[in-house]
Amino acid sequence: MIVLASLQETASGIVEKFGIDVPMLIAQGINFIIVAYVIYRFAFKNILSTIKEREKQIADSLKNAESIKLELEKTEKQQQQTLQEASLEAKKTVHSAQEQAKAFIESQKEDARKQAEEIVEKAKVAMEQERQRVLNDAREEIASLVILTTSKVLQKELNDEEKQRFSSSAVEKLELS
Amino acid sequence: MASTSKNKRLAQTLLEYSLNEDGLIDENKVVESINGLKELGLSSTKDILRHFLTEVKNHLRLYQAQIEIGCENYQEIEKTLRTKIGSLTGRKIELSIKSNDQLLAGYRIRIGDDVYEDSVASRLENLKKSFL
Repeated sequence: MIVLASLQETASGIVEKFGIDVPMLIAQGINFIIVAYVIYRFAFKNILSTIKEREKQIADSLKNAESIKLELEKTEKQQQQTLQEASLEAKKTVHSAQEQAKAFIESQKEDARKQAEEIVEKAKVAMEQERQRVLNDAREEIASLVILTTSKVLQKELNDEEKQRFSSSAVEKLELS
Repeated sequence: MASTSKNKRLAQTLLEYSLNEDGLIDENKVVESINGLKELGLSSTKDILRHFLTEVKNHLRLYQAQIEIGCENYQEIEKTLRTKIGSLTGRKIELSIKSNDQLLAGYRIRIGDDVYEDSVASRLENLKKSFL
């Protein structure tokens, strides 16, 4: 009680000291509450709603930005991979083309070598045939000359008696088979 | 075709009829054969006569020998040839002999399509072939 009385005394002392008018204070308090309500009801609520909306938009934007960043990274990785794959494929293609070109050149060389061999072989055969033909012609010519010469010599050298003897001997050996 | 072979057979029959005992062609018999054929008046008379002529020619060639001798004086050789050819063929063959210098020496006999030769020229020719 004493304490309460003391406090009451202190409070009345303060009110007096600072010149506070209690009813005015209460009225001002009520006014403040009314103004605060009006502001809250018609201005602050809308501002909060706008701020929340903006916050949401920013959060969404940040989220989108993060998603875009991830997508971009993913795309970059894919691009990198595609580039690597393309590079590898290109290398393979170039290697394959080089191998094919090499094989083609080898095949061409082989064909050319075979053709050359065939030409040489044909030339050899033709030369051999020509040699044989010339040889045969020469043989025939020589044989004809020998026989012709022999015939002429015999024609001159054999007298009729010798011819008769030969003919007679041949007729004796005649056999009709 | 059948008609041709029938005509050939008829021509051969006519030829057999035209031969004498020695197997030589008898001219009179040939004339008789031809006249007989004409009298028959067959449609194929011409064809038969053609075959008959061929048969006669072939037969005559078989009974004829063309002989060439490689020397001028061949009377003795001719005698030997007559005997030899007669005995070897078994028929009487008509010989036609003449000298041929190209043979150098020896003989060449042609009877029908067959040729028999033993001459210096033929031996030289064989020699030439052996060189080739």
